[in-house]
Amino acid sequence: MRASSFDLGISRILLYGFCFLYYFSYDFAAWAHVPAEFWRPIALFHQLHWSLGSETLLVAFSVIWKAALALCAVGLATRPATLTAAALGTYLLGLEHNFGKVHHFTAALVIVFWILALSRCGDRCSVDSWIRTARSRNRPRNVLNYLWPVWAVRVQLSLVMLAAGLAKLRHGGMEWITSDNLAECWRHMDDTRLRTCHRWLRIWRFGSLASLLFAA
Amino acid sequence: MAEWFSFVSRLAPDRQSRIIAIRKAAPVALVLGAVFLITIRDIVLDQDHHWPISSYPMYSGKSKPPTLLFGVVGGQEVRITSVSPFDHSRLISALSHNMRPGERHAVLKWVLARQPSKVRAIHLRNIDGAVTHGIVR
Repeated sequence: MRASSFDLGISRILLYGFCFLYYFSYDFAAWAHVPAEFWRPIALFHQLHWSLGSETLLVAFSVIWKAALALCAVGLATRPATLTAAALGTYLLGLEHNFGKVHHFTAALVIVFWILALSRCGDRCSVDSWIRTARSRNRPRNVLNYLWPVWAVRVQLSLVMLAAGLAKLRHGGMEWITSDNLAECWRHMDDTRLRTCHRWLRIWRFGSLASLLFAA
Repeated sequence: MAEWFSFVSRLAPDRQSRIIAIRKAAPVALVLGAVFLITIRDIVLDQDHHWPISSYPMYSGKSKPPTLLFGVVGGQEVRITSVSPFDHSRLISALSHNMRPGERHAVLKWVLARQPSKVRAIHLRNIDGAVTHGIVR
């Protein structure tokens, strides 16, 4: 109940600011050079007849998307910027999943982009609000406008945690928790940090239980 | 619950403003409700092909040694962990898909072309260590 336009504004800055910094150097256009034999469209791309764009198109989408993320973070032209970030984000973040494997770390992010695009997240802590204040055009809004996006994101993230925890219990059962399964998963990955975690998890066999408790 | 109703009635004190608020919120509520319902359906049915809606089954299966990709440098095998823009797991998964022989040859040729010139050949080894596919420069 304490959520307000200020909380939503700060959340907007943090989310879009982080995404802008994280994806700033990511080269989406590199997918244009991948052979067509790798292309296995996911349901969203298949149903909407989205195909792999040319390098020029991907560069253009990428530049527009990153600019939209920056505009969202500072809160300038927030509504069109958040809609652009959500639409292009759905395409660009979904693109790599058409190449052999669906990773899940961007799925909730895309849904949160759409939640914020439909919300009034630019009403506080934004350039738009300063402009409106300077023009004395700030109208008081119903507090529900700022509450529902926060609730929606909370529900979405809770569903992510619930689903992840249930999937582990359903597919692996208690053995998933008590064995070195998670450590083995991480050992096969090409990431030094995860390999370090793998050694640590071998010592502490109940790392899996900790991840399930976190999910719960 | 009483606290909730009191909170809502404070936000929209009269019937008219409540109707306006509901009319405004209805489209957004329908979209979000659909997303959440499909998510719950995917969780219950254990389905994972509606990205960005998902049942998040990552790491839930029993781990097994994956197929590995190797390059041959000076007669010795070197593990190839990623080929831009693919990360390791996506590359291995993509190479493990069912493909026609011509397609497999094309993708392996592409991977080899993106290796340093000292890599003379690449091949895939399965769980048992047997070479399943390969290509020489």
